[in-house]
Amino acid sequence: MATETRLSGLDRDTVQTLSHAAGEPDWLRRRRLEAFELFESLPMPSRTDENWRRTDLRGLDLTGLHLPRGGGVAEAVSPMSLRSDGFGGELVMSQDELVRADLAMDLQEQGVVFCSLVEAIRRVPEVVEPFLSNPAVEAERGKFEALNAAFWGSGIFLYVPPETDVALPLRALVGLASVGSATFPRTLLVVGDGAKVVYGEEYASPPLQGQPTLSAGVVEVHVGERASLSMVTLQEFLGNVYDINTQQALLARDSTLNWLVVGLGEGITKSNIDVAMQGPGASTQMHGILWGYGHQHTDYHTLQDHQAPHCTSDLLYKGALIDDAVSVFSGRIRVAKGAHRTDSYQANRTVILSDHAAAFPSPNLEIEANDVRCTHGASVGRVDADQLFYLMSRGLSRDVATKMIVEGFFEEVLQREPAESVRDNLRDLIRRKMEEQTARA
Amino acid sequence: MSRDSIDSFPSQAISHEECVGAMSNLLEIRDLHVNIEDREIVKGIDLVVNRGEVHAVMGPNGSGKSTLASTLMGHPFYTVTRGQVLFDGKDVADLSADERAKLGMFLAFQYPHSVPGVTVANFLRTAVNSVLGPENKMPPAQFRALLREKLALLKMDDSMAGRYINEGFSGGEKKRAEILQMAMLQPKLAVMDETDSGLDIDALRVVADGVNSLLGPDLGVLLITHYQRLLNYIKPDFVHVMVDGRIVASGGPELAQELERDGYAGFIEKALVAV
Repeated sequence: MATETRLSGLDRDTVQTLSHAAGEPDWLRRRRLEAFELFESLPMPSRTDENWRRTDLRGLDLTGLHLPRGGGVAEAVSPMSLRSDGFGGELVMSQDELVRADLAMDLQEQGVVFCSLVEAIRRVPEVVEPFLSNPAVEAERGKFEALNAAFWGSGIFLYVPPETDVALPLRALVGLASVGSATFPRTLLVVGDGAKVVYGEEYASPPLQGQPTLSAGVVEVHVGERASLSMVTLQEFLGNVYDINTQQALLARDSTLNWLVVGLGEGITKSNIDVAMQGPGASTQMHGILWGYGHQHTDYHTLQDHQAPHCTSDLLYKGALIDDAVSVFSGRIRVAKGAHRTDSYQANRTVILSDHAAAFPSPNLEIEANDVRCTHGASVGRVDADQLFYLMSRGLSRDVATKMIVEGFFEEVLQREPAESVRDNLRDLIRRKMEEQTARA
Repeated sequence: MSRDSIDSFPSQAISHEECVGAMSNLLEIRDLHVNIEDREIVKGIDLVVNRGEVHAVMGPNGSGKSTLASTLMGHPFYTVTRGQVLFDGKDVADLSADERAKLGMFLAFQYPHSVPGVTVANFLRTAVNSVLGPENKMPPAQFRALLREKLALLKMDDSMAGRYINEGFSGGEKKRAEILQMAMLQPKLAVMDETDSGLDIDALRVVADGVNSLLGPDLGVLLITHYQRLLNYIKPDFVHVMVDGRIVASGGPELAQELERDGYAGFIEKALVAV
């Protein structure tokens, strides 16, 4: 496939064409078409909607976007930020197309499946279909969820069989390459009962300047009973990229999810990150690191959704903002009726490093059960002047001292990341990213 | 007027510059006045510290000692309203704290700040290389060896290097860590602000031994202290008594003995009479 097919745009014909080209079963095509109709019927979110109050989409014209499929993939993948050694499997996507998928032989023999979602429909339909026909992120959830359900491309699929301990971390890279394109990444992770895995997902692009580029992603995570998933989601889209995504994790009884979200991109990001604890005894740690610079606008909506008793959730999101960066953090803890003995904690801390950067935290609680413990806190502040003077008195410039304080501030979050290699990798990456920023400033 | 006369005799001006480079005092404080917001705290101090000299500035609480120390290092909360601080003959008025550190000035803090998440080793590596400058960076192996040596000097465990700066340190550990930083940075002038406060006698001895081991013909020290106790361990060449923002008496080590015996009352009275 040497030439790029420029599809006419986000219309019904494109849905049909893509689905036929992928050789999809009829039921899936029908679902896509239904989702498309839903997409068309829903209005574009505006700032009068509570969830979009601080994020302005008026700069994003959906009709002007194209879907680049077929061609130009290899060079399209952005330089990889994370080192690639020490992984048990790696999957690379350019826009919505699979570039390659590698998985260690012993993991394949253990029954682990790590491939595109399209291939999984062919290879393990019995595993995939129940999740696709009853998705964790329904098209009905909103305009962009519907858009993704209609247009998602190759997709990413990971299946870890029950009682399987995947020793090495797995990762997927999604690269955007084309200015003015629309990409619809979709990930389905299924971690079987008693299984254990570390998974990282990295979204990146070279600087895509000019007209807006869209990534509208969906991530669905199913963590089985007693299973343990440690997950890192890293975003480094450069240029004028709108990243609008919804990520939903469903946790079964006594399962554990440790989820670190790292934001290093420079466009407009709107991320819904929901963890639903559906089985008793489930626990989640939700962590975030945000480095905001330039005109970056990041809007995180998190939900710690306690649907069952005896679950714990602990959220800590930290951000540091310079230049004109803006962050919005809307963190919700919801405790359903009957979810007694809930233990839930939420903290959002932001350091502001310039006069024009701003942070808007808004925690909220919705509790319908008794005998629960929920605490939340948010803070927005400047770097401590005494700390700064202390470091500067040892010869560190204001800039280096500030960065060091911010690195230390992020370290609390990194220390909660269980995999040391991931921790070290991220520490280096964030440091480099912060240094890069000064060089430009 | 004087400016005109320098302009008309350029050769003289140049020779004066050369003279400054060769023979200047390490630290020269001239008629220094310092405000915190609108309140004057330091009310005219003159003091010269030369290489190889240890000076003690003693005074009661509220006399402006710590303000003097922080001002010397360029703390932005303090405003110099009059006078000058010359380091190696150079007026440091416009220099930030890091620039002063690069010239060789060092302040051991009375209350060292903690910086969570930043290890002592990482901090010191950055600090040492900042002070040495980009062309003279210390190779990592040499840095590690130096750090181990200085940790041993201060009877600190190697694990200290991996701890976060002053986070959860005991009072004694904080003060030792200050001297560790001084030992690593090898300044020309060390201003030590109440380094003895909060130390038990054993910790005081370790800290004093550390400081003593760093003394030499090139290092000038300004010890700022309330009590004479520290001066039993670090012998000053000169002692100054500071009361109400001014130095009211200067002398040799015997002045410290006198203070220990009679207290500050006499000096405070004299200072009040002078006003």
